[in-house]
Amino acid sequence: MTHVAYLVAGYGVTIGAIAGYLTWVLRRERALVVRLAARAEPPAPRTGSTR
Amino acid sequence: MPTRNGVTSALGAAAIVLLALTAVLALVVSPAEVNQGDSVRLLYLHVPTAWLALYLSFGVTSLASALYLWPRTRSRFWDMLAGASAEIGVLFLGLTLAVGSIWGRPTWGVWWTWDPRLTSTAVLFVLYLGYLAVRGVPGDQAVTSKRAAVVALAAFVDVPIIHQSVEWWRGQHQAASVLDDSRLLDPQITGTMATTLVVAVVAFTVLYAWLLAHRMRVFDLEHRAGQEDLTAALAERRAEAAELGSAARATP
Repeated sequence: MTHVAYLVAGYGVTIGAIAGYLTWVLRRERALVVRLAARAEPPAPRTGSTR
Repeated sequence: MPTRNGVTSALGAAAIVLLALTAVLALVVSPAEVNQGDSVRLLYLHVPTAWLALYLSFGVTSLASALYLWPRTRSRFWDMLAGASAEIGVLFLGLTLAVGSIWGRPTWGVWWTWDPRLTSTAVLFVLYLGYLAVRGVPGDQAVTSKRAAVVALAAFVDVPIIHQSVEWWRGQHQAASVLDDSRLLDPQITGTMATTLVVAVVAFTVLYAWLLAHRMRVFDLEHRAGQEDLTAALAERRAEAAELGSAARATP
């Protein structure tokens, strides 16, 4: 392996790990915010036909 | 409810800019080293990730754990801070070991060796994985948090051992270039290489703050969602009990 290959491996692992963790945290945060907001809203009144 | 505010947005923007600058300095501007050649460019990842994990993340975790254990300062905030910081620390300590291993292959000729610095760092990685496992044990939250805080403080004892390992024992890992107690004002790295290293350390510190802010918010939201789940479950049970009670009264 050349030095370039080691650099690609080192920088690739680091960028991948940081991006993966950040994505997981932000997705989890977004999902929880949506879940809590949906609960906070009162149920919409039923309208229209009752058939 | 927005998932970010002005502070986290500014931290995020600063982290991205500083990390991009680090990449340019490390891969383009900074020179190759006489003996190691281009592989020295891994230094600009290895040292900042080690700083972030060992000293910053686990230092904050230990401080927050001590404040949680002390009854006068005990609060959920310190417990969340300790947990969030430790999780980030474990991620970056894993990266320190991985990048160190990748750097070790062209420099030492091996991916891994049972050198005192490497071994004590691997032990710390396992200790903080254990800490995260203790935090995940179901049960009384207060008891779990106290146990986790004790584990965090016990695990942190390994950090000064890691720091001193290159002085105390003969090994393959080089001695400190910057945080050498006897040469703090005369580091063995200078010029563009020193500048790049400083920028990289600042970039990873800002990245830590950004990740910590978001991870703590996730902990807080999880706690609130858990509380609401509990309240909803209790209300459901009460409604069931009331229904059963009225049905029993109606039965002659």
